[in-house]
Amino acid sequence: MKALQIIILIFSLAITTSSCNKDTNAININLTASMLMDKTWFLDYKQSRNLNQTYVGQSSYFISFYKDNTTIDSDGNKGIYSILSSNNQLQIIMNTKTIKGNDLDYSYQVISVGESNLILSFFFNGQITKMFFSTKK
Amino acid sequence: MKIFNIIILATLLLNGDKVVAQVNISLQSKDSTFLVNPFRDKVNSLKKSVKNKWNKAFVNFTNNDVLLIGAIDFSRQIIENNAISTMYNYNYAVLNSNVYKPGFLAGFRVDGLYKEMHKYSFQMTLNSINSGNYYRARTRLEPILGDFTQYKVDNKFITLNTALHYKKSILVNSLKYRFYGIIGPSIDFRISQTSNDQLANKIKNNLYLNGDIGFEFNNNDYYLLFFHYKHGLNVFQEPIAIQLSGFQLGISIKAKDLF
Repeated sequence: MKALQIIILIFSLAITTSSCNKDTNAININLTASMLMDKTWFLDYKQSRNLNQTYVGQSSYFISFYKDNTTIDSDGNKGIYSILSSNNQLQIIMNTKTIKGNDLDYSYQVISVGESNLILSFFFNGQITKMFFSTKK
Repeated sequence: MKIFNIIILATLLLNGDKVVAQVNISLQSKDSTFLVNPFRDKVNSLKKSVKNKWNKAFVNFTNNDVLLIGAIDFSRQIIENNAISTMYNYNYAVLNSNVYKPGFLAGFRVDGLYKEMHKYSFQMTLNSINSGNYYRARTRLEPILGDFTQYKVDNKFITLNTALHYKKSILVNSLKYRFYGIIGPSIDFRISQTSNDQLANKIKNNLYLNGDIGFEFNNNDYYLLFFHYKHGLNVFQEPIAIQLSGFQLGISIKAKDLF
């Protein structure tokens, strides 16, 4: 019986020491950054209330995110980006300048992110638009 | 002749120093044995009490032999979807592989008798697992994304496996060769780091409970060959149930034969 008690004690200790809490927001940011960075994302589809457009096989909007937190898009907007995570929601905050040098600050909500597929949404003029990107040109 | 005497005298003086030093060292060591050393006494008494308790606790476990184990391990994880939704997408075709992949394990086991009747083996091994991952559920978002999963489970990790097996002799008409059937539970406790892919989706699953069954072949105590099947049980299901199953094919050799 004592042997059984010792074995139970060892397993209980193992289970207790295995549980640990890590900062989920930091993990989400790191994981998203690793999937997003050093890639160029090409717009394949655009979905909003009235619009459902496909750009597959056409030259369309694209955006690049780099390791040094800089970004540039096909419209020539350059600047920096940062990823924010709160309450299990991810946002990409864009602080850019247009070709003419005007400030252009906006943000995307991350709907889904992967190694080769990215779905972002933004809120404009009272409606939500979803943008579907892929790394395939 | 005088020179010879001087050399002898010098040699005696040099050796005399060494003799004095040796006498001093031996006296020091003798002194230390008689000196009061509370820390050493405490350690000794603790050792004694642990040994007594250990012997009392495992009094029914006799004829113990320690064996070293090395084996190849083929593992597969079945990953159930408990309808969790995440903000990540992974290509299903890349991640999914419904096969057993090879890893390896090493460790030790203690074979003995419980109450002079029942053969048992207690095993502790470090397992380097490289498993095939079978995702039961997949998601589609037509026509934009094809098949994808919303979470990724690590397929390479290290576990500390502890198993307690009951052994039953299978009657074979030979004095040299013995066959055994084994059955019992085992637990895999993950000790390697968890990837961000798992942590982001709060997939912890550090403990895997298994039911083991298998055969063992003992060649005149020279070596023991074994084949075990570990069937993973879905006990810890939060938030995704992961069933880790596998085959182990290995060899055990008595430690005292090697060292």
